[in-house]
Amino acid sequence: MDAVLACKDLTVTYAGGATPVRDVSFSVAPGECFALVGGSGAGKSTIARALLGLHARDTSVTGALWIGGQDMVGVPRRLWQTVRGRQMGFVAQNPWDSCNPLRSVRDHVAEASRCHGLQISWHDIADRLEALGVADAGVRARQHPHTWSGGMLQRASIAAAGAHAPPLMIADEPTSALDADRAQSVLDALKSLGSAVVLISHDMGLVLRNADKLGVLSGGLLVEQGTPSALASTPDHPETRRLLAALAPVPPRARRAAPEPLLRLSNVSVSYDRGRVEALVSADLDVRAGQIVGVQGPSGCGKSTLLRVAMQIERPSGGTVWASDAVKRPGAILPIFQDPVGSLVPHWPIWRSIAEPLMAPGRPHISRTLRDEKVAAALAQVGLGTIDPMARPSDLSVGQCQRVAVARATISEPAMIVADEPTSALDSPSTWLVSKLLGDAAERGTAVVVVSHDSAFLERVADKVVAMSAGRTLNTSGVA
Amino acid sequence: MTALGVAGAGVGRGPVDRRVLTRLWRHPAGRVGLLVGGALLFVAALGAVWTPHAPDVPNYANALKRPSLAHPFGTDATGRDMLSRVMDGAHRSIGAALLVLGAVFATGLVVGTLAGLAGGLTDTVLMRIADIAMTLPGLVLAFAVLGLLGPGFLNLLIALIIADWAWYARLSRSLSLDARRRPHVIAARMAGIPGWRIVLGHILPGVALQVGIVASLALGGMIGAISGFSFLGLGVQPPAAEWGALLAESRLYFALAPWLLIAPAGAIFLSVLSANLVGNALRDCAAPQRR
Repeated sequence: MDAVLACKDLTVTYAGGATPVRDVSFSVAPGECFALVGGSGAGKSTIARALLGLHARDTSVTGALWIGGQDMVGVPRRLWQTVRGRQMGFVAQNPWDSCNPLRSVRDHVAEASRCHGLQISWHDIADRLEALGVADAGVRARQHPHTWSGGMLQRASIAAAGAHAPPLMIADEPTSALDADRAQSVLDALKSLGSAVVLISHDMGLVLRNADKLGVLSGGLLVEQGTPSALASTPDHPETRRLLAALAPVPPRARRAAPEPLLRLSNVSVSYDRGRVEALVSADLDVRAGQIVGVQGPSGCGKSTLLRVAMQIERPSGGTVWASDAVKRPGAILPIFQDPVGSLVPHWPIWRSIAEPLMAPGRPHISRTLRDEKVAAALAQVGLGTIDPMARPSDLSVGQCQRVAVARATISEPAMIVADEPTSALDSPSTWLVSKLLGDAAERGTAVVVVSHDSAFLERVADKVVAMSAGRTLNTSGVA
Repeated sequence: MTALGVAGAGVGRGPVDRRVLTRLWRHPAGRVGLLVGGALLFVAALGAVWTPHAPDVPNYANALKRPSLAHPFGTDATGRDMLSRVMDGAHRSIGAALLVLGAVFATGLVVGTLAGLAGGLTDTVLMRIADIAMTLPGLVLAFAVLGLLGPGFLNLLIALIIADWAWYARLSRSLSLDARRRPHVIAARMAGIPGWRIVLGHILPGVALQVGIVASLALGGMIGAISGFSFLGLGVQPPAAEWGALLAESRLYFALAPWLLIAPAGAIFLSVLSANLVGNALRDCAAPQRR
């Protein structure tokens, strides 16, 4: 058996009887990059846990799983410990979560070697980090994880995973916590080690660019396998087509920003704790009806504070906020949040969350029939026409919850929608749909301000993008 | 449009998802708890209006009889039927526990939510009062209140409410502080929904559900506490029957008639058990699914 990893009819059964992964078979040749791609809930992470032997004790794994020629199904946990690290390395989604926050980055890398009795000098660690593209590694490796950027820290995790030069690396969404431009360089670093890679991702674009072979997961089944070119040109399964559709550009819309601004912030600053903490130093923002304004920048740069000022729930300590009459009345600005499930009232059926903006005082009274019709129309508009309006948020997937939140934000046709990282919890088909829905809202004349760290998403959806850094708005780039 | 028609009719407008009850019934331990608890409630309701023998009338000729068909749990030292006494006491023991818990739940919920949402001076004053109530151990505080008011069933209930409300207020306060920052609350504020509607629609139901689960877990302890105080003679006064008081009376004849302990102890055991089973199951079933 030359494959470094081979699964045959791999099935995972939870204690409750649910089988999140059924009859999955694939094999990975030495040096090959095999990608498992699927939407949320497809069983990707369950497979990752099964491949690593990290499933819960009451979860049963059946079928066959050969790692380095040895069948690992049902072997004692002791044996797994000799395989993990030596036979295969693991790179997790969030690099900060994978590091001990109390120890330095080089401790994190060294631990991977030392736990299998291999001594490694600080110098060697720095060399390895440099080889993976970490500049000034000798100094930086002594720092703690929180001072590192995600892309750099993910390189350190790759160095740790590759400590024993394992023939196989398993990477579960290794780049979804990173910006798109950094994602590719991290994947290049991962592939530079020469091991075979099992790349688990929801991002079809990323997978098509990087994998030698890929398998599409849907509902716990491996529904289609093939080379990227074959799958992209002749997709067989609807799930493959759905994932590929997320790569299509959002349909173009009439971009007609109003001549007059709706909201204008100039030189706005926000400080907390009597001026000791400056969340916003100097920010300008100009929003017009029918326009989508993207705000982009690294975490902690003041994006969300700027958004709260725009939402008028945060009073600036300096600068001027000018708002037209259209956005001054209550209910004129509606939000969309990062956490789709938390955006909805957990104990309400979804129709009630959606209809809430219609029932605010000061709005014309509407009859129950009309309200129910509007809710049904709003659900249909976000592609949830078949969902029971009596469903609770816990019955829906994360992506569906965010679509319900979009329906709530658009049902009353507000003057402005502010969206804070609306897609960071979503898989790529849901992201595509939310992009399209924001475009639809803008086409109906609503102004949209959308904050995101994902520059690719903003480029796709926004008319202009405001970059932010350290509490300041920098350049504005844009189409219209 | 049938589903929306149903929605329009107002189904599911209540604070608690009705499917929680369905899930509770499907939960194995929850179903046992509901069945046992339901049976006890039935006995309590029945015992309040009908018992096989008069529970309070002595019949010295019949004293300390062994269990028999006529007296399944025997008779006490004054010849009163033990089954009738336990049935008569059920509505006092269970009813009192529910009453005290309902009162501390309501007080705690209102005080805590008010403090959490109003903030400022209101919060400071209410929470300092709660802190004072919490510095004294609950039992000691209850004894002190009983000492001031004198023994008696009503006074016992007042004492237990005073000893317990502050914990529920604290919990409600922190839950409502957390709820206030939830995205759905901010969304409602921005939609122009007035504050009182946000409190009633968004915040209180969620807080009440979580505090209610804690209260349901405390039900067993409360039945035990009331029985305990009555056992010490500080609660129900003779000749009225109450499980703890019955246990205290029966204890005196333990050497002569040990079977007298079976009925009151068993009743306390079953009620505490069912309350805990239901409370635990409720926590499993109602926990909002976070993904």
